[in-house]
Parts: sequence; structure tokens; C-alpha cells
Amino acid sequence: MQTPAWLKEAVFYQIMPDRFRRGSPSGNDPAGPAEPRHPGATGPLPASCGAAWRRRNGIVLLVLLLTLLFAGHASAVEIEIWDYPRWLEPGETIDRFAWMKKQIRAFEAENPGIRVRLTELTWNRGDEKLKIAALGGRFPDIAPGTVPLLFIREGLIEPMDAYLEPGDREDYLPGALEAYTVDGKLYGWPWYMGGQLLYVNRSTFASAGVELPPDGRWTPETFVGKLMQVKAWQQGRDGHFPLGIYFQKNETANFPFILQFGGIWPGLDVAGKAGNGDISSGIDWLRGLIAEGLAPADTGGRQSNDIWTAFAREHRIAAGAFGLWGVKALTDKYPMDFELMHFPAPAGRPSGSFLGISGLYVFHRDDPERMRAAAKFARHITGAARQKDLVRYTQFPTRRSAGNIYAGNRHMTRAWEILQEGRTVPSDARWPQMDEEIEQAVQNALLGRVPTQAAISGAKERISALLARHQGSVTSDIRSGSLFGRAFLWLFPIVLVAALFARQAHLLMLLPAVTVLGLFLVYPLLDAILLAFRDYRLGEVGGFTLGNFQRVFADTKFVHACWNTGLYTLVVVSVNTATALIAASLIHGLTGRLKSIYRALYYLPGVASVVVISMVWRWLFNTEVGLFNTALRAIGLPAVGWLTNPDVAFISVLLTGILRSPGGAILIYLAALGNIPKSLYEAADLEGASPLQRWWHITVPLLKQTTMFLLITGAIDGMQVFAQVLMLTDGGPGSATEVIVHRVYTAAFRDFDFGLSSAMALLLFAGILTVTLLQRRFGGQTEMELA
Amino acid sequence: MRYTPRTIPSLATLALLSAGLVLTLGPLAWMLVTAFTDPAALEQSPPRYGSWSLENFRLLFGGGRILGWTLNSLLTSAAITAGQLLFNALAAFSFSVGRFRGRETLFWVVLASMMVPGQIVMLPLFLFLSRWGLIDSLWAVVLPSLAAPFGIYMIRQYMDSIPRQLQEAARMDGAGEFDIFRHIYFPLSMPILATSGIFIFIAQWNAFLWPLVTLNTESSYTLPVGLATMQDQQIMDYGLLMAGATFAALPMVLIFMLFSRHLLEGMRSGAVQ
Repeated sequence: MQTPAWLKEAVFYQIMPDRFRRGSPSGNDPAGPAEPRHPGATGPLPASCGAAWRRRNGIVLLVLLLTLLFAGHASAVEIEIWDYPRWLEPGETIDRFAWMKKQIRAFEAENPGIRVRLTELTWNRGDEKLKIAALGGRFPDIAPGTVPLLFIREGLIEPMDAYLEPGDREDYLPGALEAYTVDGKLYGWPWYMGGQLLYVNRSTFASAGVELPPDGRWTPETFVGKLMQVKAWQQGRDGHFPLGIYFQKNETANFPFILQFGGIWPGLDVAGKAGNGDISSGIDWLRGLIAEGLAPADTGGRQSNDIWTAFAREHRIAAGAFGLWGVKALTDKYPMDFELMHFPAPAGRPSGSFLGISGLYVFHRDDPERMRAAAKFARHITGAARQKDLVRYTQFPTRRSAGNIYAGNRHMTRAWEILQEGRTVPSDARWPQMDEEIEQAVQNALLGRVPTQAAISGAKERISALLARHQGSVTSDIRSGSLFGRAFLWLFPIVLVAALFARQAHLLMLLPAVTVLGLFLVYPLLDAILLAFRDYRLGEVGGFTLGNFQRVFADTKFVHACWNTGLYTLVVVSVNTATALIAASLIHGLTGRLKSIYRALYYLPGVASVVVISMVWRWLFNTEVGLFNTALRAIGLPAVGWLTNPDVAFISVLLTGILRSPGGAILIYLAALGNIPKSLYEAADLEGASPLQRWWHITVPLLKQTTMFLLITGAIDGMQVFAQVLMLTDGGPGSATEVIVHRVYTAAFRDFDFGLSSAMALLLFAGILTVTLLQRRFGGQTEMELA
Repeated sequence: MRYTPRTIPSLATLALLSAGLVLTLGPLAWMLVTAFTDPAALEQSPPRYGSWSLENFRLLFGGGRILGWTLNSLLTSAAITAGQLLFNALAAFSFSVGRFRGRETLFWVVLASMMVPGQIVMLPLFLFLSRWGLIDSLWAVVLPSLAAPFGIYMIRQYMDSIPRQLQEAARMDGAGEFDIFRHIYFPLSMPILATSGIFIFIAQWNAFLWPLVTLNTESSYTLPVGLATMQDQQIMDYGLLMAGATFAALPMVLIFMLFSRHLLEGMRSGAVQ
């Protein structure tokens, strides 16, 4: 292998940026500036000559000017809004965008010069995807959400102060305005206010003979006392608990429990933000509840929808913290006699629910008219009249002039009272990363995997490191292009000239494939190697460094991911190869139709995608209503936290890997079996060998090459396991099911730590390369034989 | 003796094989059961089964989104299959027939690039495509897959077995290289192209990680990405999810039924990689 030679060759033949083949990229760019249409523009005016040339000319000019003006006014400014599904309008059964569409139509009718395009987001992963798209340069004019600190720091968001109309400022509730104000500028239009509250099933509490405090307040002691009473009434029936708790990223609902003693987020306990102590007292308090059996033992692993199902649908859990949306769901979908309560807090302390202000924010564009249109539309949608419709969304208006839309609604009135004592998450663009560290620390502590103090100090260390970083803009760097990108642009004309000079038909025919491979495989590979040695992450774009690799090995999640990936590869590949060998040997013994039917049936599950299969497994594994636990409960056995118990979750993931039919391997074995000469078996028959002996002493050894090949190619695949984990557990609970590719993905597209992600990917590549070389050493022949 | 020693193990064989099928096909069967169960019955505690309905599918298609996702999946899979077959075949032809300096080296490079796992190039490719403004467009999915080293390798192996006399004869008659490709090598390679095409199509239809990264708004989702996001904030509607999963798996099962001969043949020649 002469590296310099092939590298030269590759660079020479494979570089051909497609920009020049396809024409300007802006033609394909959906986010590119909208072409103003000129419906009113007329053709050139006939310039007839005459005596009154000057006058004519004047008129022509005037007409031209008017035409231009007219065209300018008539040309529609197109703006794009991205939005999440909202509520169902009365009479609608499916479309949760119907309200927004109606508002858009009304707005367009009022403002003939503006066209609004709606792009529908999904709640699941919507936030993550919005970030990826925006940092990738594909952003709309208007997007929904809480104050977009990340985008503001990247300079993507336009301040709205200039677009406020008289009286707007006074009309907003002070908290709402404050939530969108960064460095004295208003970065969006507050729309609605929500929060997370403690829901209690009144009928369960009543049946247990437990009285709820009439003012909705309780101290930790009374709270625990009441839960104990509920527990006594529930008599330890399987899956029944007084309280359900969950901690997962982007879910602040249960934080009030751990913050009730005045704790401060780890890493944020710097001067000026002093509280009395860290959050460990709160976590230990929760651990106490779990130890008492007041909450499920696998609490740290349960997700919000597990707890919600157990609370709202199955009535197994008597209390839990959910967003305000629960009020609506418990009225319509799962009718329940419920009550909203304050979170427990020592007397005299605020109960401290988390509240969130959501709104619309406007991305910066150079076209002032477009900016104006976007601001106008955002202001319109979030206006007081529209906020009255929030009554169907069970969220609170942010404008005073919307009035009290919940007069007479007991729950919403109570919710409003409770939220008056609410708090918000720290106002920092890096909160999502901090949140993930905290959630994971809490999960691990609650699951008893790590002592509380150790979990917190670990999180503290990582958060401090996160906060210590210099803040810069990564978006501008993405735009400006990498070193390689620029080098490639320079190389391009040289390559083009060379290709033309060669005038070889074969080279020309090679060009498309080689271009694609060079541009989308070789170049990114080189770039990945470069990235791995660069300090390149959100908030910091630095020079070359080896720091990424140091951080890789300090990253406990990655180390855990390596173990898991190794285990997965070892178990799944060996089991699958063994079952494939057995199944193939059995099928080989069949004849005719039966043989082809079994062969086809074994291969069939292989054509369904991992996503589909994983969705089914997730449904089977569901703690509350899945088939497995339903069956276990039906025969009186305790339910298993298939995906929520950290000791079981990875076994479940392994199970899904093992029970995926190794159809491909079976077929390869069948082909190899067909090549074994019959005479060998006949000889064995003469010696009176049993079928099992023949199989073990003749078939298995003769298939050694094939087995080796399958083991190695299987290992290469196994090391890249990703989709199952993303779909089943998203790496949780804690980091119990983290695998390498999932960590590579989250480091890049959730933490935006590109350098770290590339370093991890490079290590994975090294692992795969090693296995591939092993294949060339031991199993390379088989591939050629079979082909 | 009525039972020869041959048929007794055969019965045990069938039992064992069928048990294996229950395990591997079980989840898929459960998917079908759930998809066709009345959602109201699924909402019971515990869920009740046995009352069949198409309600889940009505809800699935009612939103209209899944049709858009399907269209996107079809478009990208078809474009990639067509493009990749053409580009792979062209490259394979040059490698097989062409006589130019550095041919084997270049071929080796192409083979070596087979080892590069998708995940390692994912991030730089994302940054690269976002510079061109291609993020969140189907181009981002299609362009990088328009050629694949394994396909080139496979087709070249096949083309190497086509007798040289054919091209020599054609050249005598004054045919150019493109004619030889179009009229001799391309038609003669049909079997391998068909197999290869089916594999490409299935792989693209099921592709997940890369579309997940590059497609970011609902209207550009392909089916797997859409399915992965198809659940409400909190309330998991499993009937609906299973209906979606069924719908996504259906075309692959159909293709499998129609082309199983090609598929199994291709598998046997080690085509699955």
C-alpha cells in the first residue's frame, strides 16, 4: 500500500465540486431569498419619436417609475414560519395546524403584499432538528419556542424593539417581556406561558381516606405522610405507587422536588447566586421516597410518557408532575377527578414550579421588507385577540389585554396561583448541555448507580468546564468554509483542465462515480481527520489541538459506550452467527418447496427497517401497557422495567439484536453448504456417524471460512449499532445503553461539539479498520470465492 | 419400518425451524395485530385485543403527512437507485475495459473507501452540504449516494466475465466506447444490475441516520425519519405508530415477494454488504 501514490491519484481524479456541474446552488436552496414577483410589470414602452421629445420622455419616465412603484408594492414578500402542532380546533379531528392555517389566511387577506408559508415541525425531536437546521444555514423567518439564546448568541435573531407598537410594552406581563430580553433587547414575541405542576388523582386519595390540603400547599413532611397513607391503601399491588417521578433531558417538571431545600444547580453556585447548599439534599430526599416504596424503584429510568400512562390512563400512580397540557388531556382524553397542587416546600418557601414563556422569534434577513413582514406576522399571531384562543391549549396569555380567559375554571385558576411562585431555568445558551448533565447525574443517583455526592460533583465538574469556555460563533465559521474546502476550490480548475486534456472516454465515464466518491466520501474523511484535531465546537472555534482525544477518554459516557458496543458486538454477532449456522444447516436438509418457503420466511424480517422493528419492540417493552408486562401481570408476576431499569435495559437492546433474523447470514451459509461435496458425508455414513456427529465433525469445520467471514463482517456492522438505541432508549436510563455511534451523534448534533464527535468517530474508524484487516488476514478469501 | 431414519430428524427440523420463525416473525405479527386493532380497545386497561378496525390507518392517512413522507422516500430511493446503477455501471465498465495508467491503483482506492463507515463522514458532510445550502433538501440525501464502492466492485466482477471478443468485434465495426457500454456491457450486465438495484432500493428505503441528520422539517422527511418523530408530546398512540410501521414495511415485503429470486440469488453471491 503506497499511500502517497493513491492519495495523489485520488486527489487528482476525485475532486470535482458539483457546484459547477449543477449551476448555482442558490437555485436549489429552499432558504434562498425569495424572488420578488412582478405581476404588474409591463413590457418595454414603445419609444416613439416626436417633437415633444422631452415631454414624452418625461411621461415615459413617469410611467416607468409608477410601474416600478406599483410592481414594488404588488410583489409579494414571502415569509416562512415553522411551527409545532398545537390544539385541535372544534370540529377538527386530526390537523393540529388548522388554527395556524386559518390565521395565515386571515393575515394574508389583510396584508395583500405578504405571503406566509407554514412548515410543520413535530414535537418529538423538533427542537433538536430546528437547531441543526438553523446552524446548517437553513432557517425560516419565524420559529417558535422559548427565548432562543443559542441563536441570539450566533447572531441569527433580530431584536424586535423597533417593531413594537405603542402600548405593546405596557401590555405584556413583566415576566413575559423579561424572558425574551437579552442584554436589554427584546428578541421575540411572547405568546403564551405554561408551566409544570403537581397533579394528584383525587379519587385515589379519597379512596385511601387521605385529605388534600385545601390551599394546595404541603410541607415535605406532610407530603410524605399523605403518600404513606396512599401507599398503605394501595397494598403494594404491582406497579401501583403513590408518586411517579421522571428525569430526562428538557424535562424540568420534577426539579422542584430536588430544589425544595434551596439547592443550587451544580456548577452555578458561583458568587452572587448563593443558596444554602447543593441539590444533594433534594436528591437524597427523593431516594428516601424510593427506598420507602413511595415511587418506583426504577424511577431514574422512567420517562415522562411512562409516568403519564401510569397516572392518567392506568391510574396506577396517584401523583405526578406534568405540564399544563395535562389539564386539557385529563378533561378530554382521559377524564379524571384531579387536583393541581403546589410542590411540597418547607413552610415559608415558594413552591417553585417551573414555568416557561413561549413565543415566536424572527431570524435576521438582509431584506428590510421581509424583516418587517416577519415581525408584523409574528406580532399578529401573538396578539391579544389570538391569545384568547389559548383557552383551547390550556396555556396562559402573556398580554394583559387578552383578559382572564380562564374565569370559572377551577384548575386553571389554581394553576395560575401556583405559577406565581414559579421559577425559570437559568438564562444561558448552554442550558441544554447543562440540563443533560444534571438530568443524567440525578438519574444515576436515583438509580443508585452512583452515590449522590459523586454524581453531583461529576456533573459540577463538567458543567464548570462547559461554562469556562470562551463563547464564539460557530455559524459564521461553518459558512466561511474549512481549510480543505478552500484548497478544493483552488484545485478544481486544475482538475477540470486535466480531465479535458486527457480526452479519454474511460476517464470521462469514471468521472461521475469518482466525483461522488471523492466529494462525499474521501473529502469528508480527510475533513473528519482534520476536525478531530481541531478545537471546533459551539462556543469555541480554535486551532489545532490534541485536546479532543484527551476529552474523549475523560468522557465517561463514551467509555461506557465503548463497553456496551463491545458487548453488543460480541453477544449479538456470535449468537446470530451460531443461529444462522444452525438454521441454515436445518434448512439445507429440507427439499423442494419447503426449503424455499423457510428460506424466504427467515429472510423476510431482514427487509423491514431497523426503525420499524425498533418501534415494535418499544411497544412490546412498554412498562405500563406493553405486551410483555401485560402478560406478566396477567399471570401474577411482577412487571419488568424492560427499558426503564438500567440493569435490564441493555439486555433488552441485546434481545432485539439477537431476535432479528440473521437472514443474510443464513443465505450465505446455505450457499456454502451447497459447495460441500456429498462424498464426505457418505464416508461418514459408512462409519455409522449420527447426524449430529456428522454435522459437528464435517459441516462445522468445513464452514470455518464462511463463519470467519460472517463473524468479521457482522462485527463491523455490530460496532455501528445506532438506530435501535436511538429508538428504544436514546442511550438511557442514565447512560446504561449508550453506544459509540449514538455518542458520536449526540456529541455532534446535540452538544455541537464537532471536534469531540470527530475524534470519537475516528477512534471507531480505527476499530473498524482493525477488524477489516483481520478479515483480510483470516476471512478475505471467502468473499472472493462467493462472489 | 414406516419411518425411515431420514424423516424423523426432518420433523424435529421443522419444529425447530418453526420455533425460530415464531421468535423472529413474532414482533412483526404483533405489529400487524396492533395496527388493525380498534384504538379504543387499545386504550383499555389492560389493552384489549380482538376487535378489529381500520381506524388506525384512517388516522394515519388523515393527516396526509405520511403520504408526503412516502413520496419523499420514493423519490430519493428511486433517484439513488437509478443514479447509482448508472454511475456504478459506468465506473465498473471503465475499470473492466479501460486501459489507462493508474487504473488498478484507482480501483484499489475505490475498494478501500468501502471501509469508511458512514458515521465518520457524517459530520463533515453535513457541514459541507450546509455551506452549499443543501441541508433540509432531498438533494442532501441523494447526492452522496449516487455512487457506491461496493456496487462498482460487484458490477466490475461481473463485467470481467464478459468475453473480450465482444468488445473487440464491436470496435472493429467502429463502435465507440460509449456504444460498447450501451449496447453490449450494460444489457449483458442486467442480472447483476437488477440484483444490485433491488439492494440499493431497499437500503435507501430503510436509510435512517443520514436522512435523520439532514432532513429537518416535516415536509422533507422520508418515511423512517417521519416514523421516528411520529408521536405526540406525551401521549404515545401505539395503534397509530404500528399502522405507520406496517405501512412503511409493506413496500419492502412486496418487493421481496416480487423479486425474491433476484434477492436470494444476489445474497448468495455475497452481495449483501
